[in-house]
Amino acid sequence: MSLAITIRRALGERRLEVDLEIADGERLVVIGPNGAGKSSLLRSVAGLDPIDSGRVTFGDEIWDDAATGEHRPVESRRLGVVPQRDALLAHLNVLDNVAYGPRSQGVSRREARRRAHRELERFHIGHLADARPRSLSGGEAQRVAIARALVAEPTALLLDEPTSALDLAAKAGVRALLTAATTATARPSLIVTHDAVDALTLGDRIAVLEEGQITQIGTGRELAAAPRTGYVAELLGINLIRGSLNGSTLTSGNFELTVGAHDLPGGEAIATVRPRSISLHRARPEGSPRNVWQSRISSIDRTADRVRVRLVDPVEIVVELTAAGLDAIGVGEGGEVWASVKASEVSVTGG
Amino acid sequence: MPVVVDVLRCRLAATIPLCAVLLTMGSACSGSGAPERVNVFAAASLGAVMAEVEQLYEAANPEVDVVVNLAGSSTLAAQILAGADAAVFASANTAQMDLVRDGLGLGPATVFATNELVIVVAPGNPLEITGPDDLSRSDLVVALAAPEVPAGAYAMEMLRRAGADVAPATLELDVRAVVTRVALGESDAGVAYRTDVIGRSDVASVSVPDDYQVVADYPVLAIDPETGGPVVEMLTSAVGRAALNDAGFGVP
Amino acid sequence: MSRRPSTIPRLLIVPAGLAVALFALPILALIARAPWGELTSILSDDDTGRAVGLSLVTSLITTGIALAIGVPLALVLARTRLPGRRIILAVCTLSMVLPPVVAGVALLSVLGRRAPLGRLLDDWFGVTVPFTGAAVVIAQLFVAMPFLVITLESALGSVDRGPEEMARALGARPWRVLTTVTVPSVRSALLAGTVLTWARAIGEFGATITFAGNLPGVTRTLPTETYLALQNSPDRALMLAVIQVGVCLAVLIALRRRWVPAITGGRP
Repeated sequence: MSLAITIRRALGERRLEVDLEIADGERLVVIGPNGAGKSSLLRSVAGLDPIDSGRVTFGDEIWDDAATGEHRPVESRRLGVVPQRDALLAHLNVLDNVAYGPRSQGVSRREARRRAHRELERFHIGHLADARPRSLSGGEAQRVAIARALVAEPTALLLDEPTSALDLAAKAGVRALLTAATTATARPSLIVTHDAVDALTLGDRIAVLEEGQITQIGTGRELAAAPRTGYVAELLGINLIRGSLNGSTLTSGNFELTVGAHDLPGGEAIATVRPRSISLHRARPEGSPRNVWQSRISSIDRTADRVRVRLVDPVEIVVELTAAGLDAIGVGEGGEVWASVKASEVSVTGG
Repeated sequence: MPVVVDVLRCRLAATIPLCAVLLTMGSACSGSGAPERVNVFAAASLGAVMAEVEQLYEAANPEVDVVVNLAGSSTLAAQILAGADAAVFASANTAQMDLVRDGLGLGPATVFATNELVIVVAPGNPLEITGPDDLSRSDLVVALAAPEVPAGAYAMEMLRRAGADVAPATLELDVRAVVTRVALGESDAGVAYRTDVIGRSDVASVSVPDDYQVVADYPVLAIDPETGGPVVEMLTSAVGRAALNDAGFGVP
Repeated sequence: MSRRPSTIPRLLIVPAGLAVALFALPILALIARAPWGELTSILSDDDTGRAVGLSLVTSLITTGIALAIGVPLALVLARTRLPGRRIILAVCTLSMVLPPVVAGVALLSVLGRRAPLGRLLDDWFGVTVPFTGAAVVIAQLFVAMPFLVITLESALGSVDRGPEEMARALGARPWRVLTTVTVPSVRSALLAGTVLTWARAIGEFGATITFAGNLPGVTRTLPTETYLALQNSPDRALMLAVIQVGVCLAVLIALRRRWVPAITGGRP
C-alpha cells in the first residue's frame, strides 16, 4: 500500500508544505539542508507532531486528517522507525530492544524473543543479542535499530538520517543493510537525509526539501542532470562511480580511476567527483592529472552561464563548466572530448 | 540536596556551641567607646518583665547596654555551661540554676519570683471546667506540657495531688504551646502558668485550689557580680516587683 | 573512568574546606561527646524503642504515599501542558522553604478541629486528625514529599524524549511507555528522591510537633524524643542524635555512591 502525504504546518517563521506519495516498495529520499523541515516532516508522518492542515494516509487507513480531526496515534501506525542515533533503550539488552515492538503489540515474551533472535540472525548480528546498547559501536547500534524497526513487519519505514552519525566505514555497512532490507518488499520507505551519497544510493526517487517546500523531485540521475536550484546542483550534481577499490585505484568495468587519500580497506566502494572539478579538452591534455580519459558527449544542458555536459563511454559522468569554456572547446552533442580530474578531487566512500 | 536532610539534626547538635560562640564574639567586639554590654540570660516566660527592666536599667545607666537572651531555662543553662558570656541568669526552675551553679562553682541564687499553675480553657469556659478533677473527663481533649519540661512536671504533680487521672492528647514541648493549643481550639483544656495567660483574650483561666497548687520558683544569679549584680538588684527592687506583679508573677 | 586533571582554581580549596568544616565539626563533636557506654541501655529502653518504631513506621508509610501521589504529580507537571504548571510546581514545593513549625500551623489551619476541612471530617465521619499517627504522616508528607517531586520533575524535564517516542513508534501504549521507558530512564532520580523523602520524613520535627503533638507511642517520633531528652538528660539526647546521624550517614553514603551522580548529571 502506498503512503500519501499532504502536510501543511507552521515551522516558526516558515511553513512546511509537502505533497508526496510513496508507492509500494518504493524508497523515497527527502534531502535538504539543515533547517529545511526534514525532521518535522518525518515527525508529522509518524504522528508525533500535529499538522495544521492536510492528510496522511496509508492505503485506505487515514492516519491524519486535519479537516476531520481524525488522528491515529503513533503507536497504532505500526511503523518501523530508525532515528539518527541513540535509538536503543539503554536499560534493555539488544535482544529485548528488538523484541520490544512485538511485546508492545501483545506478543508473548518468549515468542517476541524468538522473532527478535531470527531478525538479528538475518542481519548477521545474532552475537550481539546479550550486549548492552552502550557497548555497541555506532554501526552496530544502527544495525540493531534497523532489525528492530523491521521485526514487527511494519507498514512503512521511516528513517531519519540513518547514517549521518556514523564513520565512513560504518556508513557503507549500514547503507548496504538498508538497501538489502528495503529491496523486494511491498512497504514504502521514507528516508530523510542531508547526505548526497545516501540519497543517490538509497533513493528510488529523491525529493529536495528547501525552506519547507519540495523544490524538485525525480530520480538521482534526473536531478543530477538538470538541477533546478543551486542547492541541488551543489549537492546532487556530484558524480558517483561504483567500483572495486584496490589501493588508490577504483575499477569500474573497463574504467580505472585514481582516487585521493582514504582509509578504506578496499573492496566495493563509491568514488565521488564534483562536476566542476573535471576539465574538458579537445585533445589529450599535457601535464600532471592522473586521470585522463577520452569520452563522448551525450547531452548538453545550459542553465544561465553554467553548462552541464553529460559524458558517456566508458563511464557516465556530468561535467560542469562555463558556457565560454564549452564554446572554446568547440565540441557539441555526440562529439568526442578528453576529460581529466586530479586524484585529490576524487574521494571515496564505502559501497 | 542531602544537606537539607541534616539541618534538623545539625540544629539540635550545633545550636548550643554555635550560640555560645556568637554571643562571645558579640561581646568581644564592643569597643571602649560603645556602651558596656551586659548579657542577661532569662527564661522565656520572663520576656515582658525583662523588657521593662532593661528599659529602666538603661535609662538609669546610659553607659550600659543590656541585652536580653530569652530561651528555655535548660537551653540557657547549656549555653552558659558551654562558655556563653552571661552576666545574669534568671531561670524558671531551680534545677537548671543548680546545674549552672555547680558547673561554674558559684554561690546560692535568690528566688525573685514565683509562678502558679492555672487551668487554661476557651474564652467563656463553654465546657464548664471548674477544677483539676474535670480534666479527667473523657469528652475533653487535654494538652499538658511534657514532664521533661518544668511546667509539665509541675502539672503532673498538681494533678497527682488532686487525684485526677488525666489522659492527655499531647505533651507539648513548652508550656506556651499548651496555651496555643487551647487558643486554636485544638485542645479543650490545658495546664499552664498564670503568666502565660494573663492579659490574653483568646483563652480564659480557671484557678487551681491552693491545696493542689504547685508553685514554680524563679531563681536569679549574677554570674558576673560586677556587671550583673546591679541588674539583679533592680529585678528584686520595688520597680522589679511591680513589673513582675503586672506580668502575673508572685513575689516572695 | 579515569580521573581528569583538575581545572578549578586551586584557591577554591579554602572555601570548600570551610564548608566541609561547617558540616563535619558539629557531627564529629556530637560523636565525640556522646556517652557511648550508654548506647546499649538507651537502645533497649522502652521510650527509645517506641520512638524509633513510630518513626520507622510513619516514615515508611509517608514514603509509600509520597510515591503513590508524588510520582503522578511529577509526571503531570513534567509531561503535560497544564496551564500554570510552573505555579503548581512552586506551590507543591513551597513547604521545603517554609519553617517546619509554620508548616504545622498551616496544616492545623486546614485539618484542625476548628478548621474548615477538619470540622467537616469531624462532623461527617467523627474523625479528628491532630494528635494522631495520621497527623504525623501528613506532617511528614507535607515537608518531605517535595524532595521526591522536585527531584523527579527535574529529571523528567531533562531526560531525552527520544526513547519514549521510539517506544510509542514501536507500538507501546502510554502505560507501557511509562513503565518500560520513562520510569527506567529516571530510575536514579526516583531512587534518590525516594530516599531523600524518607530521610526528611524520619527527621521531621517542627511540623510534627505543631500539627500532631507529642504523645509516647502515638505521635512522639525520634526527633521529638531527642528534643525532650535534651531538657533534662542531655547525654541521652546526644546518644539519640548520634543514632539518627548514623542512620542518615548510612543513607547518604548509599546515595552518593549510586544515585546522586545520576541526578547531578555526572556518570556513575
